[in-house]
Amino acid sequence: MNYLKWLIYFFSEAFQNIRGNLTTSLVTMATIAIALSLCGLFFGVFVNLNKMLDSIGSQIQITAYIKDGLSGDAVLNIRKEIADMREVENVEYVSKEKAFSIFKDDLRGEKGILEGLGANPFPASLEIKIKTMFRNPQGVKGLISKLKTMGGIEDVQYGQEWLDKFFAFIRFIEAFALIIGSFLLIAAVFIVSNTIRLVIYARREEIEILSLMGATNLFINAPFLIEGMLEGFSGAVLAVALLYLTREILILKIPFAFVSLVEAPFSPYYFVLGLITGGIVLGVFGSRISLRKGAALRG
Amino acid sequence: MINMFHVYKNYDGVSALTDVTLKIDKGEFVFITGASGAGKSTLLKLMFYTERPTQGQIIIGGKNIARFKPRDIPFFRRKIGFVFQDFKLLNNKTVFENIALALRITGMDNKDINKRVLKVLSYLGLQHRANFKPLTLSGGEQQRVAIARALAKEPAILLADEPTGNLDPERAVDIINLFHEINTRGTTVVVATHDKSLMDRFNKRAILLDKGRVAN
Repeated sequence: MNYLKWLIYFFSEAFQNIRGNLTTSLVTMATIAIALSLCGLFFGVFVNLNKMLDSIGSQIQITAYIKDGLSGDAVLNIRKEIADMREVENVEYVSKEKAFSIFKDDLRGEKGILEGLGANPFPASLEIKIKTMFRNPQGVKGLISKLKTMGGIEDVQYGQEWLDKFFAFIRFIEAFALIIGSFLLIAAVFIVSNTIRLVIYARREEIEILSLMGATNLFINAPFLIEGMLEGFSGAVLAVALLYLTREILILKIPFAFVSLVEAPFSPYYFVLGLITGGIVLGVFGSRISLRKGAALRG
Repeated sequence: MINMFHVYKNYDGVSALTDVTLKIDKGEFVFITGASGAGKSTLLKLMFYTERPTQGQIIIGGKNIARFKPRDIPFFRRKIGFVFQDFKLLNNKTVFENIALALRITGMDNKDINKRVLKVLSYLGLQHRANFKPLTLSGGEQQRVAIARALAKEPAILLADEPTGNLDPERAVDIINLFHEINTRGTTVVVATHDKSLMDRFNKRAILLDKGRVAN
């Protein structure tokens, strides 16, 4: 009962603080909203890019060419051995004949080119798909060196240059999102702490009087922490609304094919929950910083 | 009730109090007097623990306050009423709220707070001012509110730093009369003042400070 009474008192003080410094409080909320929106936006872009890269990554394919003249059993053995490797998702056999017919299909309409060819010049091959967790430089290179040491394999092809660029791109996107995200969060904390400092400065007399009458630090600090929390919470709600609106507008404006890209990150409710928790943590953390500095006010 | 032994207080090397030893008994009424800058305020601040002595021992209510931990300070201050020359009232809160706040911070029930505040307001003749904001009151009334707030917590010790400094002579006498009455109810009262005529009217012990030393 006593705790409830104090809580009501702290909240009413916090609301009074906000009302008394309405402009500053609104600026704080807006700043938190902008910072969180940008973080949310980055997170959304990040998740979507990752998803896109993942689907590109699933196209990473390694082709192992089989030496000519191997028996059917030998080819089956090689195929089984590769399929059993831990990096491999699946293996598909492309026979000499099939390779030739695929080539012919590709050249349809220009059959004249093929006239000079006597025997089938294409080797049989194994098309290997790699598991998601091994779709990184080490995983791919490890598998390739294993394949190269196997008997019966003539050559291994895997578009190395393209792969390296692809991985570098992923690393760049990750680093970029991380740096911008942390920068925005630090800025938000800084702005909250400044707002609370202004409030503390405006109410320094009251803080001093409370301290002189024998109020504990908790009693003095709680309204400010709650104020930070409320500002963080409102900022986060605003950010969620902003992101939602942005998404709706984007869906209206962009071609249908890309809608799935904007859709994904917003729908999970934990994303919204994360933003709101983030806002509250920012607010409380910001006021905590100023309260530490403001502790000097009290005797 | 209050004992000081060889207390020194320096501010940045400048001496405010030098070798002060004094004893104030329970239930006593004492004036602290001296020219401005003699150290009266510093002495009261030491008793209220808003300043720490540079050297020496201070025992209040049987407790050596040098041994206080930070978390002991609020609870120590709740047992002492302090009346400031500049009142230190919250101007955005009503008279009632100002007094109630001193009790609210102790975690007292709202019902008990209401009772206690009304009692102290009627004792000081301020019932009709309960819903006024301090700045709408006269100086004398504001000082009464400040005293009401100090008394509401029923302190064992009442410290007052130049409580009549902002009042005309008539009001000043009223206030000291009030302190006298509070004292007769058992509260130890220490009043710092440089007003000699006021002290002459009330025949009480006076501790005279001169350049930070006890001179009598």
